Amino acid sequence: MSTLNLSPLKKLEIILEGEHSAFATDLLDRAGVKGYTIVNHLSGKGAHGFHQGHLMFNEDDVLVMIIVAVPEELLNTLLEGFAPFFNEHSGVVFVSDIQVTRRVKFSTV
Amino acid sequence: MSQASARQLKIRAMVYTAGEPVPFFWPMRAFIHHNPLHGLEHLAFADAVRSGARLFHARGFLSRPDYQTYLAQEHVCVATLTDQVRAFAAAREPIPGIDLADCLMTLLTKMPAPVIIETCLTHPAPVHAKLHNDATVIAPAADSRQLSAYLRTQLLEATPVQEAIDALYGTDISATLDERIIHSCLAFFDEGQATWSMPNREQGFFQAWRMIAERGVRRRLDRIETDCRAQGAPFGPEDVIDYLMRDLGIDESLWAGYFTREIARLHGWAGFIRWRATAKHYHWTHTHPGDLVDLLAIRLTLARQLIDRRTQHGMATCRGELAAMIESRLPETWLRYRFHTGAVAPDLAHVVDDTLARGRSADIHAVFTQVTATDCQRDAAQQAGRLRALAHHAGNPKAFDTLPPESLRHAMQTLADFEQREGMIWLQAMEGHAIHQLLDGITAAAPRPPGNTAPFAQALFCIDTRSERIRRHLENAGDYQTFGIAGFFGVPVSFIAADRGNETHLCPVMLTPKNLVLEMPTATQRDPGTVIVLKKALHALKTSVLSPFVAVEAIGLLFGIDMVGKTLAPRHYPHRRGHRHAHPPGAQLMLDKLSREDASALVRAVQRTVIRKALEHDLDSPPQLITDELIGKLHSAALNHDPTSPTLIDTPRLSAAQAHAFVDRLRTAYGINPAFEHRQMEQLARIGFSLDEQARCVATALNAIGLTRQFSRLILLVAHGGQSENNPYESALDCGACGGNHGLINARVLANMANKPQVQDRLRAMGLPIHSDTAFLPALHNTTTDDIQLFDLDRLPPSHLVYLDRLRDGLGRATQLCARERLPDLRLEPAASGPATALRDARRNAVDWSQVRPEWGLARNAYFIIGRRTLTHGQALAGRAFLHSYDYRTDTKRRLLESILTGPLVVGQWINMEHYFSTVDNERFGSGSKVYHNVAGHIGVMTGNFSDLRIGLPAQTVLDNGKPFHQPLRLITVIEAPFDQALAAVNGVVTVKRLVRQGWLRLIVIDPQTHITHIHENDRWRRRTRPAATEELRP
Repeated sequence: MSTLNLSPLKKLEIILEGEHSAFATDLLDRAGVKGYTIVNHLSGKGAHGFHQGHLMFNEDDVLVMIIVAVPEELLNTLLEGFAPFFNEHSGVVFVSDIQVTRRVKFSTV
Repeated sequence: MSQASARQLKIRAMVYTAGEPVPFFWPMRAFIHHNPLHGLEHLAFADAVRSGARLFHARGFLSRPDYQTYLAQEHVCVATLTDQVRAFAAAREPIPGIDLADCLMTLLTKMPAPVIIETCLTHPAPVHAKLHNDATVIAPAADSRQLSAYLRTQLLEATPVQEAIDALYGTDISATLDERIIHSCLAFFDEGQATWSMPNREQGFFQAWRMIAERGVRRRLDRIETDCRAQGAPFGPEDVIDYLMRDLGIDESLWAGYFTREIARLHGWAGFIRWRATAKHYHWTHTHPGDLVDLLAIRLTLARQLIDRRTQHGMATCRGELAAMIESRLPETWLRYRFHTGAVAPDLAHVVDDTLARGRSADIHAVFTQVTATDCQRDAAQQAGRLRALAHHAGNPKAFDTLPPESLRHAMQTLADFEQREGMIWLQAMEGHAIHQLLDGITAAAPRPPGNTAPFAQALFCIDTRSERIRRHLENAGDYQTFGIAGFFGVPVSFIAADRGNETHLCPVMLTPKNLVLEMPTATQRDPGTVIVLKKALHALKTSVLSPFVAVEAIGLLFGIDMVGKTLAPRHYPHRRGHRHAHPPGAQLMLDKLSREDASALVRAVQRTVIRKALEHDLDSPPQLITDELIGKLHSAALNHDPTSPTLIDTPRLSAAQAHAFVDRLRTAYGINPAFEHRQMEQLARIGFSLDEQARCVATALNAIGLTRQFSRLILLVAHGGQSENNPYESALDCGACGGNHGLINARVLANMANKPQVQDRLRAMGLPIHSDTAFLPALHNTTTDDIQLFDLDRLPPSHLVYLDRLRDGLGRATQLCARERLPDLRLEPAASGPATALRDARRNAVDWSQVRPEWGLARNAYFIIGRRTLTHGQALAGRAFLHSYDYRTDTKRRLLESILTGPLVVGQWINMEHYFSTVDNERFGSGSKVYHNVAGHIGVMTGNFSDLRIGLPAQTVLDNGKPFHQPLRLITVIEAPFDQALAAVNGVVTVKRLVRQGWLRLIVIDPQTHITHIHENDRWRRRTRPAATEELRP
């Protein structure tokens, strides 16, 4: 393990309704992030009650989570960019410190 | 794409949220019913209607005379109406000498127009004087604070600056701006209708528009860009918005509302652009990107340009100047506003005009005093007259005359509040009637004894309201059992037809299908095996030009299909769809997954063909000299990144360097590289369903409708589609659950799956005792003629052919009876008499190109019933009910119910709301008369030669001679399930819970165990008991 070269990054976990996922990924693309992971059909409880993740015939109303790792300098750009959206919509953004091995994969384009 | 700044992203997000109240507009090739107030569904229905009415300058309820007509026709529950009026009156302070409830009922039922004039609420004293014929009372001096506040609301806040300027100076900047925007949208978003297309569209809406904008506009944009670049910031349409909003002097806290007003001004185009920007799979989004940020940047730029050009020295041209004008020159501002909005009394209009033109302050003050006093007196006289008329109708002519001023003020305020709520009161009373009508029928339904044998045939129909009639007649025609299921049969598929160039999503629009189904025109082979697929692919490659190969997706590459779409674009609109239900003779659906080996073999085969073509095309190699060995070497070199190029022995004219360059070109231009190969494999993996997936699809469909035993020998899967000529709205007559397409493909897909012995084995293992001789048969219900056509008969086992005559006979009788029931509403001349004549007339109607109303479609939809057929069996619901079969006994975990609520019910609610709003205000929420429609850009329709894209349904779909044909009600949804189970399902799905609690649909739960009917009303449940008639019924 000692040979691994770890670099610090910020991880954002953005949870929002499925119908807005195209907006969110568009914003990420424009911000220059290189990639992200989308987890569909989230279950869980929030301010609006329990959200079922297994809705078979409606993806717009299912919560999704977009996971993205970015350099620290991009964090505020993204948070500021998403702010008007989350002022109007339910959903959350979790930010945490992470370390990655191949930093070049996460540097912005 | 350069990296966007935080500021750009923020503006982008602001525009996104600001655009949300504007509903999506889907291209009308596949008409999607939707709620025009979908963006306001987070609000309670009444509040959303109020907001929507303001935003779209529309009406949210019918006019009072329309409701009074319904009352006279006994479509209104008088008890509900009275109860609500009494409840309203009871919550108010009494008015001396007036029976308030009685007075309000009179207002509702006898008065043709609103009673209260808003402006009189602030000045009741003159009204009091008029009621007393007291000429000594003079109008009070205008309250400058009130006038100022009123003007601020009308001219500042979210009001676009140019609209305020128009209202103060009589300019027509807003109308000109709209025209320019429509021109720009028509040019950029055109999908092949225009003879000349706009240049540079691939660079995006804003950039393409900028390049051909007039010189002044370009200069302004150049300046903004220079400013941005000077600060080292990237430049984009967001920066134009940022700059111009600040230039107009709008405080940033008001931007969202301002954006919404600007975007909603042309809500048809804005809705289309909104939808298009999110439709990642849409061909035109890829080729010509554009979104609301582009639209807003263009709109603000043009607005600024027009303001500068159309205004003169001394006129207010920005927000700050407008605000200052209201504060410092109130009399002038007031006169200007009243004059240019047409509110000044005609006899004073000349005086006002002349005075404003002269501009002398003292004169303006004098005229201002005169105008405000005259307005006040005029309104007071009108108000007194209306109150007297109300009192007269209420049988108490002096009721208001005797009230002291304070009581009069209170009475007027009470009446004003009531008139604000009036629409909801009428609506609930009409729904009350519809609910009673339905529930009384359910109570009276005669139980059918459970049978021990399976019926002759079972038929699954779409939940569409038009299925209700044909199901009823089919059930009466013989030993048939019918079920209702969403018309995509629970199988979301992306479909590529043999003769089409693009994928069509055959499922509700809130789903994106994972699986792709291909139609393979295999005329001579029955089994669409890999070999045939390969042959087809190679054949297509041989007959195609080379250049598109490199750009197309893998599937297109393999099957020679999608390249047509990519090159020629999806089918133009309007297109002739006369044979759209037909499919090539012998065409098979490719349903099964390819094995990895097959997929690899296919990809390799295509790669080799591409290399062959590339040799011919790029190097002019004679075909006879291109050997398999050479292709193999090139293939290996391109894929393995072999640093040494193979010796191109058959093209001796090439040097080693040229050969090397050719291999490089194979990798980069022709997509012969590992990354592209990986993508091709991924795309191929989308084709078809695995056996487990197929079994799961069939099992889910059968379980969802409660068909879990006593399977018939024949099970029909009946899709539906409309048929009409010369009708841009043809797709609106198709299946909403199939994304505005007919559902035949889905029916064929499910039937193909369910007929497989391996799938049936799995179904039996899953507890569905399906017989080995059960055959699933796809069919299509033509809703315009009521004909039902059977498909894939060549796949029917020979043993079943003997039943076809009996089946056709039953279907034929149902068709005739259904047509006879339906046709009187179409008022065709001469009126049809017998069933056969009715059918003939319906068929003729379907092919009449001058017919503006081929059928009534989903008009008059009112109910969505989720339960066993026994609930409504025998009850004629006149094609007003979506019927979804559901048996709570097979759904202990509530998963099936939740799925029905989130998918089919939501689609039903969209359809219902589309009809509701298109009826209550056909000009704003609907699209007006079809007679004046012209197709715009192959996307939608405009009225006349030039208008916004028309949203919603045409008058001919919801109105009959200008009066509502569709009864605008919220969808009355009935769930047959134990109350707790139903409630848990509703509460378990946030969307549906919100729709119910915010009043976007009415919910009723019929508990088959307790025999209690629970009705949700005003966010509370009330009970309605009923006899225990239907509990022990079998489906």
